[in-house]
Amino acid sequence: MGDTVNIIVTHQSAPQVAAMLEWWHSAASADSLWIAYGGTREEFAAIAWPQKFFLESHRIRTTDPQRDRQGYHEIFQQTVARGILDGKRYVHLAEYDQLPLQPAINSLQIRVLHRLRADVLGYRLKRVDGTNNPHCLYHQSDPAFARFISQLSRRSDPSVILSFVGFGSFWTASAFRAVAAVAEPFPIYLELWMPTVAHHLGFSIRRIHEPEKFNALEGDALPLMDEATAAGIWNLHPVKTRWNPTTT
Amino acid sequence: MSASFRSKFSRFLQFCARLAGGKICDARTGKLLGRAFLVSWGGKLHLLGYTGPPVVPMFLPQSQLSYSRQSLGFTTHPEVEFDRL
Repeated sequence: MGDTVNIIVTHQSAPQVAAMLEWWHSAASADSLWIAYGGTREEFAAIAWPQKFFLESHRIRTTDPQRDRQGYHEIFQQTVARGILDGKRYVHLAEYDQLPLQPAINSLQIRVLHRLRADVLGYRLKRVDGTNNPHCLYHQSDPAFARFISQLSRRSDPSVILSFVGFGSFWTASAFRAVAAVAEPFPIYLELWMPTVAHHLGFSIRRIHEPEKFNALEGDALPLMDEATAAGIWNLHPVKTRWNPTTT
Repeated sequence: MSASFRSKFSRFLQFCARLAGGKICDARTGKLLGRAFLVSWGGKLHLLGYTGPPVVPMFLPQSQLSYSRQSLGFTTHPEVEFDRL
């Protein structure tokens, strides 16, 4: 039994989930893999993998994730409430369209986490307060956002807003639990919620230093797989068609 | 406005900005951050079509005192390196 839980968020069909898990077996131990499912109940029932949980919240099922302020908070809450973190020290929060490329990926993540003396690692981590970042500006239009952060913050500067992308973040269990314990006062987009709340609770967040072409926001990164593997990249993103029956 | 139309228009604007927009450089380092159209409208300055890293607007220091011209530039936040409390 390892000390890391890999939680993979997906809404895809049972055969696609099976294909995805088969790939993940080359990167992490089977007993560390959990499915957080945001699809239909029927498809959820068809997934043979025993380590799975169904996401009830409408916050995961959005048509326009940014404007609808998609949230992963239920994933945090269910992971803790179900005891999935019991005896574990780390959490890797992954998305279905993220392809882990390194065997024993978690040990690489743990090594970097310790080297940086960090509690959370994330792709494309940026400070966005005072900038043109659209998600930040959208939230700052509501004064309740700044009030919430200010009341939550243990930091000397409560104005700091951080952003990282939803895939591939790596957490200490204590940071993950602490964020799970914070009640979301109103919908806050996951890219802001996760790093900003963790930061203001006093945890240290650091960026995963990998070239951004390997963790792109759009397109299909699959043609870069060989190059990324050779470069020692942990996760390739996005690879949305990888688990389709015709491409696996 | 439908989400699909909004998305297509946004991409078109970004494409035009990459093609013909003015340079947006980091006022501190000189590094090219991207391109955009800067438009003054309704008492505000609008940044259109920009896709580079998040930028912070700032009035630029002036080596000569001027009462008739001040320049607004852009910079970026430093790398996130906050320690654990």
